[in-house]
Amino acid sequence: MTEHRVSARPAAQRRAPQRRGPGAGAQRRYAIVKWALLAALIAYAVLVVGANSARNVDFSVIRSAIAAAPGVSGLNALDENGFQERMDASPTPCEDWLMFGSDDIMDVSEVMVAKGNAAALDDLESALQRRLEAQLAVFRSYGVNQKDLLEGARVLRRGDYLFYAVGESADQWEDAFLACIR
Amino acid sequence: MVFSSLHFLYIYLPVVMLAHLLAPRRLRNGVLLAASLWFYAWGEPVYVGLMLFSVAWNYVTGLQLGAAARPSRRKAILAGAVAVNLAVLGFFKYYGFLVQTLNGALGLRLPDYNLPLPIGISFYTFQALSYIIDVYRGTTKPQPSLVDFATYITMFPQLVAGPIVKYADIEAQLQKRRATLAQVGQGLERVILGLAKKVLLANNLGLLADAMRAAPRLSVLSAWLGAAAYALQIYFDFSGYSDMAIGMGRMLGFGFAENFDYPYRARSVTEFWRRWHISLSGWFRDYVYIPLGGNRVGIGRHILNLLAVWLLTGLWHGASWNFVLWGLYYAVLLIAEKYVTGRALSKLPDGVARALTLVLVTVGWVIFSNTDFSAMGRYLGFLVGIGAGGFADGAFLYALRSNALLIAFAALCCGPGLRQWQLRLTGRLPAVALVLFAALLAACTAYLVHGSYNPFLYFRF
Repeated sequence: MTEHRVSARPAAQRRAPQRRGPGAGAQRRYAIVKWALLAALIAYAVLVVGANSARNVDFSVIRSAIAAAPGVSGLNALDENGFQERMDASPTPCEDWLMFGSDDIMDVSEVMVAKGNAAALDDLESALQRRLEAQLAVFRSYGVNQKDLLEGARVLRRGDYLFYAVGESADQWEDAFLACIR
Repeated sequence: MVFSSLHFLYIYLPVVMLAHLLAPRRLRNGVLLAASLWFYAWGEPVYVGLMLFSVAWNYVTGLQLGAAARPSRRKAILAGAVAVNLAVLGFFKYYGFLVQTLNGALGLRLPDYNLPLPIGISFYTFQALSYIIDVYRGTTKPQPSLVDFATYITMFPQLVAGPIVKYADIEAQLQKRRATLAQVGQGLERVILGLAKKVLLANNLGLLADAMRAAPRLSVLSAWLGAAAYALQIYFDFSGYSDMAIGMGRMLGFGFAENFDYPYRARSVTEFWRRWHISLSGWFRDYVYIPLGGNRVGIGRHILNLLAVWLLTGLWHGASWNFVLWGLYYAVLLIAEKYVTGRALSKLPDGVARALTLVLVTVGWVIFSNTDFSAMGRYLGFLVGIGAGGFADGAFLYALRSNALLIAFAALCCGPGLRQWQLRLTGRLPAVALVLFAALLAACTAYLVHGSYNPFLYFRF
C-alpha cells in the first residue's frame, strides 16, 4: 500500500511561500512605507473633506449675495410653483431654497441654491440633471448659444448646499455662492 | 468619461489603442497605466489620489506578505491591509449613509460631509482585496513591478463598472500578451455589440421605465410594463458595459471572464445569480461565503452565512437601505429555494420556472431602483393592484403600442439565439457581418449625436 505522508503543519503555514525573504530589515522598511502611506491618506481625506464642506450660514446671506450678483437682476425670483414647473420636483423637502430664472423661453439662464439633507439634495440633483438633459434636447438642434451655456452648467454640492447655474455670468454666481459658505 | 460617449469612442479609444499597439512590448503596461489614469482623471481628478493610494498600499502589502514567513505575522499583515481597504471604502462610500442613519435613529447631529462617491471604488477595492488575499493564501505570487500592479488595479476597461478581474486571471497577460489583428477585430465587434445594447436598447427602455415611474398612479399592467422595462434596461445597460469592457480587454490582449450568461433565462433565483454579474458573485463566494463555511455547515449556520453574504452584496451596490432590503430579499429567496421550494421548482416545466423567476427578479428591481421607501411601497402596491388605477388603462395600451417592437427585440436579445446567429454570420460571411457592425456603429453614433438621455446605472457602484 502506498504510504501517504500528512504534514503536521497547519494548512495556512503549508501554503505560505517558504522564501528566504529579505528578512526583518525589509519588513521594517515596508512597515515605514505603509505608515507614511497612511499618514498621506489621512491628510488627503482631510483635504477632500475640507474642500467639500461648507460653513453653515443663514440662508438670507446667500439669497442677498446671489440677488446682488451681476446679471441676476434681469431674472425673476421664482415661487414654489415656478420652481416645480421648471425642475419637475418640489422644493419642499429642502430646508431653504432660491431660484431665479428668465420669462423668455429662449433665455436658458437660471440659478438655484438649495439647502437640505443628503436625500433631499440627491433628489434635487437628479431633477436638475433631468432638467439639463431636457433643455439640451430642446436647444441642441438650433440654439448654438443656449446649447453652449447649458453644456457649461455649474452644479456643485458643498456640505448641505446644492448650487446650480446656467448663464453668461454663471461663474460669477458661483463665486458669490462660494464666498458665502467658505 | 463614459464608454458610450462620442469623445471616448472617437478620440480616447483610438488614440489609446494605437499607442498601446505601437509601444514596445516592455512599455505597454506603462502606456496602459497612463491611459487609465487619464481616463479616470477625466471624470474624477480629485479621486485619482485615492486610487493611487490603493495601488501603493496593496502593492507594498503584497511585497510585505511575500517577505513574511511566520503565519501569525502574515495574518496580522493581511488583517491590517484588509481593514485599511475597507476603512477607505467605508469612509468614502458609506460614511454619509451611516451618519444619516445614526442621526435619524439617535437624534445626533454628526456632520455629513456629502462627499461625492469616487467612481469605481467598489470595483478597484475588491480587485485589490482579491490580490492581497490570494497572496496571503499563497495561490498568487506578489507582483514585484509597481507599474504592472498599478496597471492591474487601474485598467480602464473594467475600472468603473467591472467585471471584477482577479489578479490571478490576468497575471500572465500582464507580463506577456499578444493582441493580434484577429483579436482586435473580435474585441471591436464585442465593443460595438455592447455599445448597441447600451445606446439602442437600454437608453430607450430607460425612457419607458422612467415615464412609468414618474406617473402618480398606474394600472397594474402599466406598473408591470414599467418594471419589466427597468429590468431590461439594467440588463442591457450593465451587460452592454461589460461587453465593451471585455471587448476592449481583448483588443489590448487580455482575456476577461464573462460577466453575464443570459440571466433572464434562469430557471431559479439561484441560477439567476450564477448568470448575473458573475464576477461579483464569484468574489463573494471565494472571499466571504466559502471562508465562512459555505454550505458545509449546519442549516442554521448556512442560513446565517447566506444572510451575511447577501446583506454585504446589497450594501456593495449602494449606501442606502433599499439596497440592504434588496440583498435580504435575495437571501430569503435563496434560502427558500435551498430548503423549501427547490425540489418543487425543479419539477416545473422550463417556461413556468423561468416566468416565475422573472417575476421575482423584476420585483427585486423595483426594490433596487427606489431609494425612497414610500415610492417603493406605492409601486409594489401598483403591481398587485393596491392603489392602482385599474387593471389596464389607456396609458398601458399606448405605452405598449409605442414600444412593442423595442420590447420584443429586447426580449429576443435576452436569449442566446441572436448572438449565435451573429457568430455564424461572422464565420461564414465576414463581409456581410462587417457591413452589419458598421451600420450598428453608425446607428449608435447617430443616437449619441442626437439623444441626450444617456445615463449609466452601474456607474456609481
